Amino acid sequence: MTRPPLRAVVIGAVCLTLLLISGRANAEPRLVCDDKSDPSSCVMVADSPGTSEGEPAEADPAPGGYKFNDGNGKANSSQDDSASPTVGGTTSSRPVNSTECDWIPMIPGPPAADPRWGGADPATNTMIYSNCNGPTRFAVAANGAAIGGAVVAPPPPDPAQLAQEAIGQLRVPQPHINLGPNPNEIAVNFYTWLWVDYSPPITKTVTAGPVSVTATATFSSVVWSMGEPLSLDGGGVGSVTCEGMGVAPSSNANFNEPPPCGYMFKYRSLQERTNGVGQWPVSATATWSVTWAASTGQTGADSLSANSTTNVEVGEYRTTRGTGG
Amino acid sequence: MAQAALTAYLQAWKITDEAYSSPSSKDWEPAIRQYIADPRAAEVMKAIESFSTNGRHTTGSNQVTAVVTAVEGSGDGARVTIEACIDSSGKDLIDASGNSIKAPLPVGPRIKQSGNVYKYADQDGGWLLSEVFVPDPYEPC
Repeated sequence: MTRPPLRAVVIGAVCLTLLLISGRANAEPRLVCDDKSDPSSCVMVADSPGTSEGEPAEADPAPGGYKFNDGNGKANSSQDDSASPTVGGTTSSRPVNSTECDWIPMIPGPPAADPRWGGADPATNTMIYSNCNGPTRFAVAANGAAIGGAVVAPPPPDPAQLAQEAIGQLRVPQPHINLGPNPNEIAVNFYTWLWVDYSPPITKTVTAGPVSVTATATFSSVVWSMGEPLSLDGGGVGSVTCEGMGVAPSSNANFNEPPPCGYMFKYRSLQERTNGVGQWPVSATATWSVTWAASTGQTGADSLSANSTTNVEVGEYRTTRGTGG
Repeated sequence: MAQAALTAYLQAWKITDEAYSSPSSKDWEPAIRQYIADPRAAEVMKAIESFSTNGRHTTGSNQVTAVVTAVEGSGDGARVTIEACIDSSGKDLIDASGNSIKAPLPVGPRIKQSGNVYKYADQDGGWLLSEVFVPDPYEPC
């Protein structure tokens, strides 16, 4: 009557003992290193059967072996012999899932004379490496080539260089010169209004690979060189710098007040003062502020300019008194 | 040339020690890449990320004794091979609770390793540690 229960107890005790022994064996601590090159980064980890810090249990390395943490919470054995691409630029046809076994482009690419290039042109190739299975291996892949199912991207273009290309494609217009209120009756000692035709911002976008750069030119200011000397004794040329494009005078403008952008000639453009031309050479140099922004988040600034010239006859108003009739 | 490469190798270890001692304090990549190129740079960056994620950091620094054993090429792309003894006895590994968790190595705190330092024209100083080789299992020195 008592035999069956006693047998069950004995069998149960044996199984429990075996389980405990098995459990102790699997819980043998092992060395896990964040950086295998720095032994002070290593800790002892005792894995539970079937789990390893949340991951399935792995085969323990040989005594003294280390585990290299790939930074993503997965410990990859340095002795793991899985997923091994061949050396020399060719790759395994088998997909490689481990981060450690991926072929990764080198940053920066080594100098052209580096023997690891094997004579390949760094301009059209990318050096890649893999840390799989211990010693790092290097290979050279043509830019755009498929490596282990992935495409090796060419080195990303330099946003600053793309920006210069975009800026080079911006065509800012020559400023169209306007003088007023009447360009045919410009006179000394009266304000001459100065403005250029409206020019909207200009935008150009250049894209290369994954990077795009948009450059925008916005009208900024005009430097007006008015042609007349600062004094009749000699040097310098009258000039004025105006922010923005200037404003055309309205019909009710007060011409006794300084205009938003204007200049008051001092000297008539007499022929003896202008080498027989009878006009002052007026030029307007427009400056455009350029800003650029890349899809990478980088930004920058630059400037462009454009120039126009014209000649202006400057006379004078004289007051005459009528005598009637 | 060999001396410059050796200096770069030691600087690489110095910046690595600094980064591991304060992994979350800043973006270490610019400083790391001043002395280290891929693939070693990528290893160090991953380790920094792991330290940071796990709330760990190191204290102290490794004592590095290094000698140049080979020089190949000259100018850009030249390679200098260095053999070193890394003594980690002066370093500790601290977890997020402030406890020391550094594991004693079966071979003791001094281990052998080697590295390749390459000449990069565009870098300050010109020499970057690119590859580090560690015997597996560790070997004492």
